[in-house]
Amino acid sequence: MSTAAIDYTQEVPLIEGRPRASEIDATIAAPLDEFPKRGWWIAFAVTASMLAFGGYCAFETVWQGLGLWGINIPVAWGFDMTSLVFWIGIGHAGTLISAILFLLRQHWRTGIARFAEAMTIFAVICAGMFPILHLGRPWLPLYLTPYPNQHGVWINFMSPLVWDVFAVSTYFTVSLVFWYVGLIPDLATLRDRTTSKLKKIIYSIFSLGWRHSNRHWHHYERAYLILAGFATPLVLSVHTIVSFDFAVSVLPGWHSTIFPPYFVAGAIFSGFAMVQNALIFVRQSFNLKHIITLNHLEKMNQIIIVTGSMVGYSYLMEFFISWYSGSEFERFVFINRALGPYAWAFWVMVSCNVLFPQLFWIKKIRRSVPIMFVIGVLVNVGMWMERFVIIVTSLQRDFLPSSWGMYYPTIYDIGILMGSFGLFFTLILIFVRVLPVVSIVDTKAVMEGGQPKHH
Amino acid sequence: MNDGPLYSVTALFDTPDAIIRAAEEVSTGGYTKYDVNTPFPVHGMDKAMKLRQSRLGIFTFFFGLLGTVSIVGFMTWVTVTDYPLVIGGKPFWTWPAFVPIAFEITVLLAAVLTAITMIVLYFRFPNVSHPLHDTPYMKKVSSDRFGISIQASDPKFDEAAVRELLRSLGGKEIAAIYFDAEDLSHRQELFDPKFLGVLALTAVVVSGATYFSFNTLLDMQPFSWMSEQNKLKAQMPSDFSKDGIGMRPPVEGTVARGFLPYPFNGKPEEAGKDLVNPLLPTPAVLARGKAKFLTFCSPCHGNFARGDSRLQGQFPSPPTLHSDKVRNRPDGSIYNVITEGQNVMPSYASQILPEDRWAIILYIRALQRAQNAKESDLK
Amino acid sequence: MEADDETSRLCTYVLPIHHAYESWGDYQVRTGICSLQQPVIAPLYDTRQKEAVLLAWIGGKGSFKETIYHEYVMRHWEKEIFPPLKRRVDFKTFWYASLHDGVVATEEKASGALRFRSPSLGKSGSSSPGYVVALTPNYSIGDGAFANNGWLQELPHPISRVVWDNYAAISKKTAQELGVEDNGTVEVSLPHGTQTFPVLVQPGQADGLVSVQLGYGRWNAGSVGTYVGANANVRLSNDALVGPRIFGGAKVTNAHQEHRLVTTQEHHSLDDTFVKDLHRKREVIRDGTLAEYQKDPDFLHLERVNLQGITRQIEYNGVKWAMAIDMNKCVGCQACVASCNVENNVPVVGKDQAGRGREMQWIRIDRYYSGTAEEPISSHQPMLCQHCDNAPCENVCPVAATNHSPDGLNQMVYNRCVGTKYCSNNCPYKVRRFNFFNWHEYFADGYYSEEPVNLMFNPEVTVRSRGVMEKCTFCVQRIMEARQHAVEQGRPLKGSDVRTACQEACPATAIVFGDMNDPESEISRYRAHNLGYHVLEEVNARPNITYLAKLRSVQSEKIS
Repeated sequence: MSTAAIDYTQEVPLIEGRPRASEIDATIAAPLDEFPKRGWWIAFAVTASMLAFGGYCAFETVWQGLGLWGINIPVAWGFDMTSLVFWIGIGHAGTLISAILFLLRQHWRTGIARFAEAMTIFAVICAGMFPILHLGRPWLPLYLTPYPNQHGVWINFMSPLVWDVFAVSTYFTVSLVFWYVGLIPDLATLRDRTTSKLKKIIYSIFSLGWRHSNRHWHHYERAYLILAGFATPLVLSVHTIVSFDFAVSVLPGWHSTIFPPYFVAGAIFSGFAMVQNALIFVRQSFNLKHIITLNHLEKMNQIIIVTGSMVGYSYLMEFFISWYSGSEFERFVFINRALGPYAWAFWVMVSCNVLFPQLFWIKKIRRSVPIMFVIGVLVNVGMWMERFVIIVTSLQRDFLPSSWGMYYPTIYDIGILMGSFGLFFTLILIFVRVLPVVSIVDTKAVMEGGQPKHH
Repeated sequence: MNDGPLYSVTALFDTPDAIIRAAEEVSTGGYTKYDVNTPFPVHGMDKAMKLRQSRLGIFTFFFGLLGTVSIVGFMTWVTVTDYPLVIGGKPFWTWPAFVPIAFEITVLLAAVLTAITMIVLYFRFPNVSHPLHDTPYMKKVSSDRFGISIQASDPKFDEAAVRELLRSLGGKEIAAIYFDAEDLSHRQELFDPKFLGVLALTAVVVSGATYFSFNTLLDMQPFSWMSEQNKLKAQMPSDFSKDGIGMRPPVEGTVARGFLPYPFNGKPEEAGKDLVNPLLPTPAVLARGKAKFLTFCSPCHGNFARGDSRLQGQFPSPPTLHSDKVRNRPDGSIYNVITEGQNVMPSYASQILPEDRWAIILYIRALQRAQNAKESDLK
Repeated sequence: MEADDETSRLCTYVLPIHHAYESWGDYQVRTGICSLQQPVIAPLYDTRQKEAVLLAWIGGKGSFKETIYHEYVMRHWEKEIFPPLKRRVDFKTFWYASLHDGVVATEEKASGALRFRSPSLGKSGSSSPGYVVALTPNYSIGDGAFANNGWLQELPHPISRVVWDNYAAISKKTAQELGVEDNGTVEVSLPHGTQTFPVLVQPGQADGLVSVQLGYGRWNAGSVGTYVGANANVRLSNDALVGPRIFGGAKVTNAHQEHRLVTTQEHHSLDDTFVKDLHRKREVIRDGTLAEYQKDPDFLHLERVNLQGITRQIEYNGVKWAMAIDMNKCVGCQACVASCNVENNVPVVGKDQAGRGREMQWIRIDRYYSGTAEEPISSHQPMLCQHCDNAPCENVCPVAATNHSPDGLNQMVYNRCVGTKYCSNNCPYKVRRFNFFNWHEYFADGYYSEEPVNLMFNPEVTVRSRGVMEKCTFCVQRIMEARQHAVEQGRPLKGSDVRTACQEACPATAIVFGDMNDPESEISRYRAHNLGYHVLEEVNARPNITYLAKLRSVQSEKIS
């Protein structure tokens, strides 16, 4: 909105324009009550077709075999695991905004927390299809869980993939519970203002009969704090465990202790870029610019630059340590990243992740919606490339020169990646029409005049 | 809708300060069964209502502890007791590997069970038939007003006094809320026909789908299993051969390495003359002979070759091997009997390896010596 | 040899005869040695022994019976071979014993020494302008007789590592002269026609020499071998310099077409300093010279790797299997690869899939170059599952489909594997192979899944489906069979009871296999040898394959 010099010693108003509580109800609930306009339908058509193409590629993969992808020996993981890590990383921004900013009492999270949490859940759903699709025998994913069976055999608790199963399921469940618990009061509010009989029944069921009673708020706030308190270490642990998929192996370039913090920082980095991108559309389409303000976007960009710098630092450290280690294998892998057959991916990654986000030091760029959108997209491209570089370059040229190979993705690889984006955005498009994109309750709680003056 | 008894009297307020003050007054006024309804949590309301700290955290702690203990216990039991496997040269109890999973399960159980406890235990949700639902009070309180509701079941309740109190506190739209007689009489029955119907339908659908999946669907393309492999195993049929049997018998007249055709077929005396026992009666050989004798010979000839097995008395009875006839028979002749069979006794050539036959014969000799011991053996 | 091939198409009559394995016969390989051939399987098809056909024609109508030739051979031996031997047993006994032994020594003496005709040794290479073209039989499919054998087509050329194709091998200098590079093509003009061949720049090839392999380009070889490669056989001619295979003064030009050759190893120029001699730097290949060894036999272990673990090692108290490969004896012939394929039902994937890096061989012979393109030094190293004590693959399998057996094998449980492929990623030796498709059904329209071809599968070994990992098992089926026999015979299992397929097939006895817990076994001696080393020892996977470093007979202490 205004680009005049902002005095950072004053608390920035979280909601601009001082709307009244009932106006907030109306604004946020508007997309749920209105029939979607043309813009939404066009977007839905695009995302649904991407999803359909991805679904076709996935079906053919299951029907015929993983040979349809570009993977081989030595590069047995390609687009599949890259996309898995990418999507889980995207999900982490949501939890960070919801939980960590809540614990740090950053009230500006209210405008964006609900949407970010929903994005977490959708991102984890998108991520979850990759571990199943990349299996050679995808009709047996239950083998990865410890269920009692006639063979008497259990899983191998030492394997990071098993840790992944527990971590991602826990993350999904806890995020879902956290998101749902946050939704209950909003659903009650919607229940009480809707005029459609069908919607009333649905809202009644899902709001469980919430009465806005303070005796309930009392426990509710405690539960929310507890959930936020658990979700925070959960975020850190989940991407740490995902990074263990690589760190626990013996391959040079993977076997590195920097991976846990590096991956977590990178996850937050890419997640925030994706949230920022999506919110730019949401606030525009649904007249929420006074609730999801430019200040919110600016703060997100600040987090992007912080985490981006951490990621850049990690790149530097990796190179330094690989040289310092004196290990011929380590040194070779990193030189191979920068100069070998996949150098193009490496340099895209470095420019998108390290160079472009540094533009956010400039306030004008930080507050310019078109430029920040482009940088957000570049960050996501760069972060996807980062996982690609990590996975493929370490696999393609590892210990024995005789087993070196190349990875060339096929249309099925690309189709499934496209399909995951299609799924993600389709779910978001459905979400914005079915549930309130901003937390009604939280917004009212931070608006001016919402809290008593004496306390 | 309001033909039931009185539930409570409610009032609405416009500002958070007003509702805080109202709550303070009501609680100091000695009322206990009352509630404040606000569209969002109002800071300071807990203190105003003199509510104790929520004890939800205690549940969380115990659920978390339950998670940690149960999952670490499970993993320990699996890796040490139930199915220990050598994986990567590591010891069976690799506790560092348990840490990530233990952490995740702790968080999972703590978080999810806390939420469920809150919803079910504290809130007694789901509850869609509370008297406050669908009232104008609820609609306002859901949107932009703050309300207070003093219940009729409170010991100090008197409708007129309460109305006066609320009016004096600045409450607007003071209204009485009644129970819904229909909701009251509608009790949740365990054997509600609709509920049972849904249960039955679910059971049929789920078991049908499971049956179909595991018995039919999973055998179709593209699922491939290795329980049926496209190769020929011993004793499998094959369409390829004329007789439909997969195994091909050796060509007549060929000799496999390690075997020679038995030259004494039908010639027991020549066998006795020409065949010599190649084994010596060492303890190992006798042990082997004993093992094989007990397996193959004792069912008919008895454990000590006395012919006293279960078959004794049935015609024709398996003979004792301690008769003079057998004792005087050369080893080769006994070998021939085992190989070819004799009278009712079938050939054991396909069951006992040639070396084992000689070992059995040595054992029989030992038994024969034992049954016919001389005094000089004791010295 | 299929019944329907190029020759049969041109014939009027085709008589189906027994395969060698279905036939009787006798041979005299040298004076004084007679040997016998007996059928190992009853005839699969409606065929006849070719000698039986001839005998029936001689005997006339009604004289044929199935055993006619068998009896003929027996009679010949009874009349001609048996009497001079003056054995003390009767003929029948002698006959069965000879069939069992397979070989009989007779008293015949050689008739005298033979000499070469000197003029035939006189021809040598020409100095006429043009290139020398040598047509050589292929290492695995020979002159083309075995072109329809998928295993042999997929067996890489030992030096170039090319599969499913033949090519014109030329030196770097010749390639520069012709203006071609790898995957280009050249047109070779010979007395009997002109043919285009793909190009492979072969380090160490003599300048001006073009080598092409025979046996390819057949037009009716069966489902597997038809139209694979380019046909050089039709260019054989008596107009050659050294006939019919070596031609002088041939015209060779750049054919300006692309033909991608599929290799199982990446092809790097010997000048690429980024990757040069990595196998030496990483001590994958360790070798020395005779002089070095004579100076200090322990020269390989002057720097000891200090490996520390943080856990106690698992103890193996019974038989523990290990293998040693003597690189002094290994010539890279790949008999081990072929025999492993046969023993373990290893699938054939075809040229396109091999080009994508999906060949399925459990053992491979890696070939490394060092030196220069003109004077390369090549090293061969058979690489198979090392059955590591601290196997990196076992740690990461989520479903516990791979773990360690009490006798030291890294086991692979096919029916538990869900195909996450993490084990392959974590294997530093990259010896694990994945079934990306149902190969037996995918390749050549399911050629290997139909009868009678599927009768060749070893019944003791699982036929793997799509989506599971596989790798060398140290022929666990043979180990189990030996165990069973030991139990039958009431004695403990000895390491020497088991011979793996690769060990059996190796003509140079370069592979040694046995029980490392038996101090008297051959494998224990090899493991303690001072030329023995493990590949990638510093990864601390504790592999159980000991390689004996090759000593090159170079007159210095260093390998240039």
